[in-house]
Amino acid sequence: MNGAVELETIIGGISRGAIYALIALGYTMVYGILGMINFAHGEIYMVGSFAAIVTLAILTTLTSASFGLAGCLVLSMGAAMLVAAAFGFTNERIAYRPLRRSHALAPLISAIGVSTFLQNFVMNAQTKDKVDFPRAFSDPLWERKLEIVGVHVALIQLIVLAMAVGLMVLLHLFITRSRTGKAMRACSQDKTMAALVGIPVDRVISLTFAVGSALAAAAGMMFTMYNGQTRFDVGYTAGVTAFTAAVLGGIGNIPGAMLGGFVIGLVEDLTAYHLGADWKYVAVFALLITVLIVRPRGLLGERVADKV
Amino acid sequence: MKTLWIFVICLALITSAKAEIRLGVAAPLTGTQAKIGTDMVQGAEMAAAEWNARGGIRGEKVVIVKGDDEASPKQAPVVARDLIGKKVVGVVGHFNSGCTIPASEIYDESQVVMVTPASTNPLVTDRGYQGVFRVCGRDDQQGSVGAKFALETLKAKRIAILHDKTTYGQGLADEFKKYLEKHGVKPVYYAGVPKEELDFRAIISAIKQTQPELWYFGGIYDQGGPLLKQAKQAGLTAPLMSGDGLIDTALIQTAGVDAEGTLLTFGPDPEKRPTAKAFLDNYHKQYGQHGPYAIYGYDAANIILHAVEKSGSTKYRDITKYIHNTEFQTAMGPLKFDAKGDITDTYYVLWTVKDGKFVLYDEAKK
Amino acid sequence: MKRFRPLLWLLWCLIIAAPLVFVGLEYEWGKGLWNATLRTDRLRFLVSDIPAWVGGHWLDVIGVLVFLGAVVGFLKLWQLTAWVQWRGEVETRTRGRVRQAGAMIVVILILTLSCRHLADTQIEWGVMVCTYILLALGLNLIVGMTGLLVLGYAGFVAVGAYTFAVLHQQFGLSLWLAFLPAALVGGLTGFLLGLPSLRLRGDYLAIVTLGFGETVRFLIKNLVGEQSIIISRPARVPSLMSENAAWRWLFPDGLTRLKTELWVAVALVVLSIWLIRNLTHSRIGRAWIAIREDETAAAAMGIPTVRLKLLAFTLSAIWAAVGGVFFVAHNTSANPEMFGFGESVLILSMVVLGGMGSGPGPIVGAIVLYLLPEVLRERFPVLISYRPMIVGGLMVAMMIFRPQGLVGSLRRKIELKEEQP
Repeated sequence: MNGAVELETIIGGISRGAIYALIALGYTMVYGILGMINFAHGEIYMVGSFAAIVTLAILTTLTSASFGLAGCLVLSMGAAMLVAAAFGFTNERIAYRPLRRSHALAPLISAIGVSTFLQNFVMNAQTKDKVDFPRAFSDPLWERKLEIVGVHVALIQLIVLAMAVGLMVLLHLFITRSRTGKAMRACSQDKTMAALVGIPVDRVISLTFAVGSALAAAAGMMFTMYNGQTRFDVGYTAGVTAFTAAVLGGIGNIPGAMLGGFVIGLVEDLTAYHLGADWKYVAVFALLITVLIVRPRGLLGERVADKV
Repeated sequence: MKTLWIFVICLALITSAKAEIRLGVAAPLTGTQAKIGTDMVQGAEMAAAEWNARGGIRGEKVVIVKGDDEASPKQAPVVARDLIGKKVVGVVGHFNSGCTIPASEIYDESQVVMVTPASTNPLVTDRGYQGVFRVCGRDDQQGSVGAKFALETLKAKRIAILHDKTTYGQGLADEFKKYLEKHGVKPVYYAGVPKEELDFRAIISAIKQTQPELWYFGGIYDQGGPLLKQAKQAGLTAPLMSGDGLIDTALIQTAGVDAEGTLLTFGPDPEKRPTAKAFLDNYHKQYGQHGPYAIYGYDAANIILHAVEKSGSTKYRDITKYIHNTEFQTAMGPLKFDAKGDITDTYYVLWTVKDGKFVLYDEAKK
Repeated sequence: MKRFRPLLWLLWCLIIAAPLVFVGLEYEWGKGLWNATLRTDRLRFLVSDIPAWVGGHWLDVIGVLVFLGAVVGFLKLWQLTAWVQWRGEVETRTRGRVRQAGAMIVVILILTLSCRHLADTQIEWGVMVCTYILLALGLNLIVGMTGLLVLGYAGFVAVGAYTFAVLHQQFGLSLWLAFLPAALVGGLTGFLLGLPSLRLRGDYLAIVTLGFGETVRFLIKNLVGEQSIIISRPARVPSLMSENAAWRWLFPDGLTRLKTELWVAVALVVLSIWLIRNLTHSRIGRAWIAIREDETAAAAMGIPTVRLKLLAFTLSAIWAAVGGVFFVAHNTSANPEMFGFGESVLILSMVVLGGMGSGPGPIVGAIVLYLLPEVLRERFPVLISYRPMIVGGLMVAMMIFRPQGLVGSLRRKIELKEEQP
């Protein structure tokens, strides 16, 4: 019994970590290319979760859910990713691009502005209450369980894990194999040189924001499905946690963000299991501070000169 | 700064008073608990309307002054001072114990009567303030009613306790625990979970580990729903017991069938009270379906207004003295306050969820 | 191309608005949650709330505009005379003294008058505005003067507040005695957080301080508990009652606790303005500005940057702690929920709106962002819940169009706007 429950906690931690990893990718990609932290990223994740629910509502209203369970879920995830990508794109256009050449404080403050705005917009437009993910769509995934030597694994945990890993593999292929991916990597190495060889740097930056946001939205939807509920302020904690994951793995490093996500998910769930849920935020923050002091480049990151 | 003060002074002049009896209602009117707050205000407004239909108090019209405390302990004292600045004779409110306690400090200091319809934390009345009353029960009563039921009726020996770390939730869980320990049962698990938390899986695993026969949750319905759902998903089959914070239809909406069999301690059902019939009929006519706290808002308002009329003054001392010494005929039945300001009757009964509805436990058994 | 400008703008607006509208769509799940019905009335607040209010309260709108204009105009005038000193021009000492005395007399007169004539509601606004001014002034030391973005300022406030609350709970310490230990503990926390943070660049620092603010809240919840700690009456600011005839004439119902609090709050604000002004005019202040403008150059000039940054951290935390102690005493209880991230952002936006690094900036910011919504609460209760949204939008707009803030200095503008990489 004991070992089984422990194992279940670990599996829960890993599926949670997969979600953090997806969010952390957005932080890491933007950091890699612009050298700054996108503060509003957590809110995009939250917006993604709401967009998914709204899409499901639209689908059931207009088409009476005739796409079936899986179809509806895939469609809503697609729509959420699209909406979030639009948010990421406009976010960059409004809050970052005009300030790219100004003092380092300016984009930070405007990013905090965007994040406050989005959070409270959703609060006013939707509700301050927690919002349920429609049970009809999430319950069937929970009810199907595998049992391996006394360890219960719900289907949804596997789905979340598979989807997250799938998206990460896709992203990896996109970045390493495609032309645009190559352009992205070129920009992150040297923007001026990239511009000289004819890469449209501005467009690549916009694209980075859009892709990162779409990933965050996918994470948002899966997390809502996983927990059954979302709320206007979930982005804030998730954002900080995912950022910690990105730093842990080495910011700017894509495999690092994935690794960091899994580690953070495990740390959180094991702390909650052994010490109580109220200690997990403290644990995450302690981890962040420790990593920044002891090994600022993270687990997989390369040495960077200008952390100071 | 000067322009500012001129502006402020102008505003003060605009809002200065006419001859009328003002009754403050402080409740969360925006935010998550806005629905409950609105119920309370509507109850109090109905009471005021009835008094005005009878010609007011000594010919003066009764006016309700609303204050929105946003369910935040930071905002509650601000609202309290605002109501005092508007010269109210008494205040119906607040809803959350965390708001009532700091606000009552200010009411007591400025000598204004306060009757809370819903704050159950013992500390509300335990500080010995003369003008602080409540028409609901106390968490220690509630906790011990629940614990007694768990020990005597359910004969549970292994009990796990979880709370949401708020003034209300933790207070309730602690009272529950205290009763258990007094009767020689040590809870097998006791922990808090932050009230922003959405994913309870790790906690549920830890509870499951202790193999409880019953688990208790001190908290509010918006966490209760997902908690129940995730517990069933994780295979925790022991029944859940909780307090009045979980009595809300949103719980059943979120948890669905997983809520069945949940045990809750709450006040008696107003629909079973003959005295409440007139109120309920009127309320349904005016506002539609009643929430659980509308009737308490109505009763609290009536108690203050009665005291203002019968004691023949709007002075703090007269009103408190009258309230302490009188038995009131309220919509929830006859009611009397003890020296601390609590109601003298025992109050809590057990409810449960059956077929997607809250029903009294005794009736569900039948 | 020029002809299509308006069309392009329209397109832009659409691109921005479409996802917002999408996320704001309302729906209602029916029985069994298989069927939803879409409704549109939750977006009502964009479409009808504000125009309806403007239509119904055009007089208030004009009033608010006039008020805002008056504040800005007043400050412009003020800037021309008194704040010239602040900006670094030397005035003759005697004239400064006279002006200071005059300002003191005006302040005392206003306070006496307001205690005589204002209701508790308005006095409460006054006390709260003073508290926020105090906090904004403290935050300005580090964000404005030294140029380090701190996002967890409420964490420092919480440290001060809880030092007082816990000491009060354990030993019955009163407000006046609590300022010292709270300032000590607050300063120490600032110092300790500063130590590792100094190795970090701007955005890292921001996130570490953000995490710090949250952690303080959770630590308090875990170690002290989430139950409110009540500050008992004798430990708070006393009420001053007297039967003296002159006193009776000055303050007809005596100085109640709340009214004394207003005096104390104003005294704290005046004291901090004086202290901060002297500080920014000293070597330390100039060194901070040098660090803000170019840290490498400052270090090359022989400024001990590490020590000065630590000093800024510590002092700012001390201000927060003192503000926290006063706030808790005023509020009558301490609760961890009072010191959330929203509070940090509100204080930060006060500094940003008023003008980072300017003297009167935080004061203007606090007045505009706290007092205006409070005054309008009565007429337009929804405004309070829109405040954070408006604040967010304002912060973006300020950074793009007026980075130096409403009353910021030219130097700051140049610095924020035209730095080349």
